[in-house]
Amino acid sequence: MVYCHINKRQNKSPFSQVKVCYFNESRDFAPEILSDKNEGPVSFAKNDSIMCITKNMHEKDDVFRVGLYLYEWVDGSWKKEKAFPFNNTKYSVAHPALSLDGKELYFSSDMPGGYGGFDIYLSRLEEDGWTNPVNLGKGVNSEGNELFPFLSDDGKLYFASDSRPPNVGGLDIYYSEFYDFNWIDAVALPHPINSSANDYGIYYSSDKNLGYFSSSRKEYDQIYQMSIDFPEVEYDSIFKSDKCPTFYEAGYESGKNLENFEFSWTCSDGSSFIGYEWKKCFEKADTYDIRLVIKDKILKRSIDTVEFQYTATPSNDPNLQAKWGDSAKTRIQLNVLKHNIDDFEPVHAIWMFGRNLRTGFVVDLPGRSLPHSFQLALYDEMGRVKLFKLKEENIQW
Amino acid sequence: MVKLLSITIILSMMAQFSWGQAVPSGDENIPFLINFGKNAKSSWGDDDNLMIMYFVVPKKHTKPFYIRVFDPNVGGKHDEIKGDENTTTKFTVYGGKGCVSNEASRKENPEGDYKQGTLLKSKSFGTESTYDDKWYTFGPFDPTTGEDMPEYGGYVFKIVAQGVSGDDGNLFRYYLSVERNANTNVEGGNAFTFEYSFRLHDDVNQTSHIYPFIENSVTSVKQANFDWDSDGKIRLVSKTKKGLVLTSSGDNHWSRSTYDIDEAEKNSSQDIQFIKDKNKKITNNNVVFNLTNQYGKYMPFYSAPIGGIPKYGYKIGVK
Repeated sequence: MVYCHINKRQNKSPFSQVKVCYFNESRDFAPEILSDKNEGPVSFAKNDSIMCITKNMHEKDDVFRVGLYLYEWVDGSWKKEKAFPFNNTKYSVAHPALSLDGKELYFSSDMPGGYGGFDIYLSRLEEDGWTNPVNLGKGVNSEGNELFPFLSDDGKLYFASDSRPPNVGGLDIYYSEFYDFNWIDAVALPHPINSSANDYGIYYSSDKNLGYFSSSRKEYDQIYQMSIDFPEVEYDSIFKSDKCPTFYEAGYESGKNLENFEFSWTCSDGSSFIGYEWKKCFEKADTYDIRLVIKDKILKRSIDTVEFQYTATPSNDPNLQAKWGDSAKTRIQLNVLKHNIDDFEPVHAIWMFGRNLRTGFVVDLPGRSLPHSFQLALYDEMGRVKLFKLKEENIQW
Repeated sequence: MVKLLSITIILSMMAQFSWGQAVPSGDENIPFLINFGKNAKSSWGDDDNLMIMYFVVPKKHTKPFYIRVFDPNVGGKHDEIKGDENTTTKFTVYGGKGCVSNEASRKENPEGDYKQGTLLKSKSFGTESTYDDKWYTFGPFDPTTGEDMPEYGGYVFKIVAQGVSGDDGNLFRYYLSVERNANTNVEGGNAFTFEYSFRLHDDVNQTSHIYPFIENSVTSVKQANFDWDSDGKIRLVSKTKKGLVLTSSGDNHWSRSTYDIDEAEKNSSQDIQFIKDKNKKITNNNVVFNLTNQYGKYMPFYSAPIGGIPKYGYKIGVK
């Protein structure tokens, strides 16, 4: 494990150093690159042959501006230091998160043009070098500080924020996913990962269902290990919504001899419609009064009124949708963003495909076939759980 | 057996309505019946110068009753005068056997024995003003002197208005009353006819109605209307028909059309609506109307619709 150690400051010793820990012993990490600069969060790529580390940019500057520095692992040591070209003494560029192939670099910076405080940016390594950093947008960034990005093996970007709702105190950990050309609104990790103290610096492997994060919940910062347990609760039934019925005049001559009549519909929710048939969608499960006024076009007046009470039953359907992902990756994406579960607003999702666990509202699966069966657990803000046992036919293309 | 069942149904339904004494009734919203003198042109709205109406007195009513006629003369406040006032109308009340059972009086053009029955009272009215805008009363009559017709709900009496001379249109109304000098209902009484000759409102916003009763045996109906003058639409509403527009006549000719009867319409009344064209503003329009069933038998219209005013059953369905 590689981690960042915060020192009690003594004389000219650096405030922050990177350490490596093996069982109960810790020692300096990569002494060949250590200096009297502050050194902080680090990221590795290309089977750990590339490293990006946060450091002070000035030799004798304690905690002034920081920048990113890249190294290569050559002949058993870290060499060839290259400063990230967008380091700048007027602002900080910090907290690197490299993609596995080392061609994408996510980082946090308070550079001008952001949403406020530190935002998370992305730069790509192309033939002629790193591209201009791109702000990840308001799905990730807020008016406050977004720090400590981490790119997990299932493509999710985890980060810490002190301002995104529903923040429960200090820094909380969130994740977002790139979906339909946008970073979707970040989702906060549930309790007990997030606490009223600072929670940040997450590392998580979905393949191993194992992660670590830092938290100050016990007076000072400590590293915590985490895994995601699939809930052991009773399965919820899936029942489809009938909240979009079609009302129609159903008398003996239903649908015939309509030309001399006007059918005027109103609903107790304030909506109205003129026509023989009314396809009406209700926003929530409830009982509604439906009124039909029949106007005689020949007599030029209303001739009858009929009323009806309709109960829109609740639905409990995660409304899964799938589509082919990037053709190169041949992935399937399941989307529960447009769920159809009444009185339940999921803030977190855990999927179980066989023994393989995934988190998030969007999951990418290898191959071009849907799983025959799987489980989905949804959590809301209050920690309530809905657990669905699903089959291939529950997914709509 | 079917006939007996039908009678039972009619009687039970008639018992619910004891206010069918005025002819035309309030539900019909017809201002006047009309009958022209025998020299009138048919294009003025009367095909035969005869208006035959039947009254039903239920058997439970045992006291004397009266048939009253409003404005039986020609001229004065009402009526359609053509040139000089020159018309005499003869009103004759019949009871006894053949009064209604003889089908001659039911036809579009009554001929032969249409006056069959026992002549109970008769009086002719000319242009004198004695009863102008007033009621004349025939009776008292003993209910048992009518024709005993259980299928019509009791003893039946017939009153024939005949334009015996002249060419004016006589506008009048009837009332079946238990009092000589007032209109007081005979409880359970009703009135019907097989051919209606009536005046329409001049007000284009008024709709007149007649209410034929569809017996259980009826499977299709042929409607016939005369001299409607293309004054809007004649439309049928029933339990199962929300507004069937019937073929309607122009000036001085008959129009006819046939429609089928649905099972749910049997043993109930239909509502024939006479809806004036709101743009034409035709005044003094008179129309004649009758219905025959699939066997060519004339069908009765009741002043008080049996079973109540028919209404199409609008419903809300969900799919």
